Amino acid sequence: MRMGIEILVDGTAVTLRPDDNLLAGCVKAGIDVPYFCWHPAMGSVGACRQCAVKLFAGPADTVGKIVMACMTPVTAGMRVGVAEAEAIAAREGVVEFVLANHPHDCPVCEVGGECHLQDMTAMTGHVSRRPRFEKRTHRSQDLGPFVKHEMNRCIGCYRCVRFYQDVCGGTDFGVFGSAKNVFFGRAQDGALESPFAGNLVEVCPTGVFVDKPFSANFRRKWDMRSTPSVCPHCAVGCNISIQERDGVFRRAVNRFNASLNEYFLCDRGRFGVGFLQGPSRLRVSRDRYGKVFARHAAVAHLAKIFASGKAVGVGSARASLESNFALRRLAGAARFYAGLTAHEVGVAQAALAAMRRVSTATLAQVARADAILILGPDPQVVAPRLGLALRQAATRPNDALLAAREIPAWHDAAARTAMAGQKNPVFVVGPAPTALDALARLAVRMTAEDTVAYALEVAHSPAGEVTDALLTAKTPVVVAGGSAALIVAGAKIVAALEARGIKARFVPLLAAANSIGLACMGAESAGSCATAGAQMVALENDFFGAAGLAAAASVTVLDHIETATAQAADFCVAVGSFADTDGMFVNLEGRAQPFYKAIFGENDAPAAWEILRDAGILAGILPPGTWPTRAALLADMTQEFSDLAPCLRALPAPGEPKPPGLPHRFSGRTASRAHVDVREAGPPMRAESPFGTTMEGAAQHGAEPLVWAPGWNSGQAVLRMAEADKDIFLFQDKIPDALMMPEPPWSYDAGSGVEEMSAHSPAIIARGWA
Amino acid sequence: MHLFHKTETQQYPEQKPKLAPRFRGRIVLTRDPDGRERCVSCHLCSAVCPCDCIDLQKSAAPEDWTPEYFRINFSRCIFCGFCEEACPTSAIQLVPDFEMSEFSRQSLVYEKEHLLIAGTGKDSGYNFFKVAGVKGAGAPPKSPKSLLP
Repeated sequence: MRMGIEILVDGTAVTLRPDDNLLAGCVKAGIDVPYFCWHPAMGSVGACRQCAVKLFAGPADTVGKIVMACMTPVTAGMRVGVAEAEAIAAREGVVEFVLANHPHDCPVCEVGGECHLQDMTAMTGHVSRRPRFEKRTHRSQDLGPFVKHEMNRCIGCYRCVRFYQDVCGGTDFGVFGSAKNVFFGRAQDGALESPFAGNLVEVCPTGVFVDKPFSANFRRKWDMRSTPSVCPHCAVGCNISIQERDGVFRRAVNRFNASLNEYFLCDRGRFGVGFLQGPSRLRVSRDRYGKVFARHAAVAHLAKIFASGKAVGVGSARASLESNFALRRLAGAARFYAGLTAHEVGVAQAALAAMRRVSTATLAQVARADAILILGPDPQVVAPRLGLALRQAATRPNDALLAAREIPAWHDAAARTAMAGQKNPVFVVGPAPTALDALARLAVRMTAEDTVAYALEVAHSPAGEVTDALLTAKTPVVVAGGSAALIVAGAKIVAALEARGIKARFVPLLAAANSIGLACMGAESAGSCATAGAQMVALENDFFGAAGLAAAASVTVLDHIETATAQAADFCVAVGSFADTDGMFVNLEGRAQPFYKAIFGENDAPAAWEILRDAGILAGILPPGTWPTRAALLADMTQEFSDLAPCLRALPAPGEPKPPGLPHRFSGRTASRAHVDVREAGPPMRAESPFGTTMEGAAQHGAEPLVWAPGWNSGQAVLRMAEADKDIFLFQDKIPDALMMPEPPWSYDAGSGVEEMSAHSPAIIARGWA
Repeated sequence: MHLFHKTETQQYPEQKPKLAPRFRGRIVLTRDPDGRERCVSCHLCSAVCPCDCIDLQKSAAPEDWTPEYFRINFSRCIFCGFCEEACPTSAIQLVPDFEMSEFSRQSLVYEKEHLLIAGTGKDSGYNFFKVAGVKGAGAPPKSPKSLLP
C-alpha cells in the first residue's frame, strides 16, 4: 500500500499517489483537468499545453504561476489552483488553437460521442469560433483494412507516433512536415505493419484513426450494448468489450485490466473478433446433404450417438471449460480426446505441469520485469500482446537509473533520453529471429534442440552472462514455448531462481485461448482416435480438416464456424460462439476468466454444453434435471477437477445488484424492431448473468460494462472508474518439485500466429493474415 | 360572453386549416440544394428523441454516411420537434401536415422511402458539407514532405 501525498487543490485537501504526476493524480481524484498528449500508459511529454493549472509557491503567494500539470511532480503540501481564472483562460485558449483547424464534422465522424477532444472542449468551456481563415487540409492515406485515416481532424498531440514508435516499435509510421502542416502517416499509402496498429483508434484523442470494419457496421457508443468478454484468439485472453446492437456484432474494444492487457490489444484480437459477423458462420444445424435440423432434432441425433456407446468426444482448446467438461462427461473420460496434435498436447501438459510448480507472471509483471529470458518462438507471433509486454519491459527505463538521475517514471521524454544507448537485460535464445531481437542485449540463434540444452545449462550452472543477469535481477521472467521440453527447461530455470529466493516468474507460450483449461481435463491427442466404428463428436475444432476422418463410422461437429472438418462432417450442430454464450477460459497465466453472452440475436444458438446436456439426458447418460444452470455444471466440474475450483468465484453472488447492461442512452428502442412488429418485445431475460439486460439497474461505478463517467465519454473515462478486482488465478498452491520435473520427449513447432477463428474475420482476410 | 364571439369552429375536413410553416407535423427527410440526401446518419435525432422512436443505420461503405435505413415509429412519435433541432444537416424536418391516421399501428412505421422528399424543405440553401470543413471545404492540401511554412 503506497502512502498518499496530501496537496491543496482550489483550497480542498486531496490525497494523491506520489508516483503520479499532478495531472494524473487530479484526474483520478475526480478533478477535471483537460489534457491531450498525456496518456496513462505513455506518460507525459508536455507537448499540448492543455493541462495548464496555477501553482502557488506557498500559503502567502497570491499570484502563482501557470504550470503544465502533466510535467509537475506531486510534492507534499503543494497548493494548486485548477479553477483559477488565469488557468481557465489559458486552457480555453489552447482548445481554441487546437480547434482552429479541426473540421466541424463530428456528425460524420465515427468517434463523435466518444471523443476525447469533444470532452475536453466541453470541459474548458470553449463554445464559439473566432478565426475566419480557411482550415488547413491534408490528403488522408489508405492505411489498410484495419484503420481508416482522416488526417484533417488531427490536433497534433503526437500520441500516435509516440505509441507506434516508442511503445510498439513500429518503423513505418511517423510524423512529416512542420508547424501547422505536421502530418502523421506513412511515407506512402499502405497497410500499417505493426501488429498493434489498431490501438491508434483508441490512442488518438479524436477521429484521425478510425476502426474501419466498425465504420461499416457503425453505431454511436451510446447505442450499443457493451459486454465484458475475453479475446479468444490466443492464450493471453486479453480483456475486451464486445459491442453489439440489434443482434449484430459491431466492434471489440479494449477493456482495461491493470494486471493483464492494460490499455492495448493486438490487431488479431481487435479485428479477429470480426469473424462473428463474417460470412463463414455456422448458424443452423444440418446434415451432410444440407438438410436443416431444428434444435430438438440435433439433440436427438447426438443422443443417438451417445446412447450407442461408440461415441468418441474430441474437445477443443478454443471451447469453454463448460463445453469441454460436458463432452467429457458424455463421452466418458477414456473416450475424450483433445483436438490437438500430440505435440500441442505435450506443450499444454508441460505448461500445466510448470504452472503447478512455479509462479507464473501476469502480463503486468512481465512488462515490469527487470530481466527476461525468451526461449523458443517469437512471442509477438504466438501471443502478440505478450510480445508487447515484453517489448515494454525491454524498453522500460530502469528504476535505478531514474532514481539516480531523479527522473520520475512518468516523465517520458526525459526517461527515454536517460535510457538512450542502454539495453535492459533481455535475452532471446531460439531457432528463429524474433521481433524482440533488436531490443535484446543478446539474441542467440541455435537449433531448437540446442536451445533446450542451453536452457538446462542455465538452470543448473552458476555462471554465465544470462545466469548472472537473472541472478542479479529482482523479478526476472522466463518465457518459453514451442516445445514441451523447452517449457520444462524454462520452468526449471525459474525453479532454480526461486530456490535462491529470487521472485522469478514463468510464462509458457501457448496458442489457444483455453489450452490450459483443456489440459486440466487431461485429454490425449485425438491423433489416432478415428478408429473403425467410432462415432466422432468434434467440439469446436478443425483438427481433422477435410481428410483424416475416413476410418470413423460417423462424424458430428459442434461448431460456430464453417471449418473444413464441419464441411466434411456427416452432421453439424450449430452452437454459440464465445460471444453468444457464457463460459470460461483459462489463460497462459493460469487466470480463469469468464466471458458473457454479448450478442442478443433473434435465433441465437445455445452453448455447446446446453445441447450436450439435453442429448445426455435424452440418451439416459445424465439423470433428468442435470445442470439446469451453468452454476450447477461448474459445481460438478470443480468437484471433478480440484485445480479449477476457484472458477466458482466467477459466478455472481445471489442477490448481488446487477449493473445495467445497456448504456443509459440507448436510443431507438421503439423503432429498431418496428418494421417486424410495431408491438415491442420485452427485454431478453438472463437470470444467471451478473449484468442486467436493460438500461435499468444499480449503477456502480467500476462495475458497469460500459466505460463512461460524467463528462468523460471517451475510453479515457477508465481513469474515473474504480478498478474491478475479480481476477481468479488457478494453481496458487505450488508443488515444490519443479527441479525434478521429468523432461518430455522432443519436438518443436514455432506456431504460425493464425488461429482458426480469426482466420474467418473479413478484416483479417483483407489484411492477408489468413 | 363567449356567446357573442365569432365562432372558431372550422369545417374540417371540407375546409382545410391554415397551418404556419413552423407547425410540427409529419416528419420528412430532405435533400440538399444539389439533390443529395442530407441525412448523414449522425444519430443525434435518435439520441435526442424522448420516445426513442427513431432508428437508423449508416451505410456499410466507409465513406458513405447516408442511412441504409431510416425508420420512424409514428405510433410513438410525440411531434416534439427535438429531432429537427438536433439535426446538424437540416435533414429531418417537421412539416405542417397532421393527416396521418391509419387503421393499424403497423402502418405508422415509416421507412426512408416514405420519409424522403425531393426538395430542401425549410432550409433552402444549406449544405452541411460546404460549411463543416470536411474534405474539399478548406484550403487545398499541402505536401507533408515540404518543410516550408
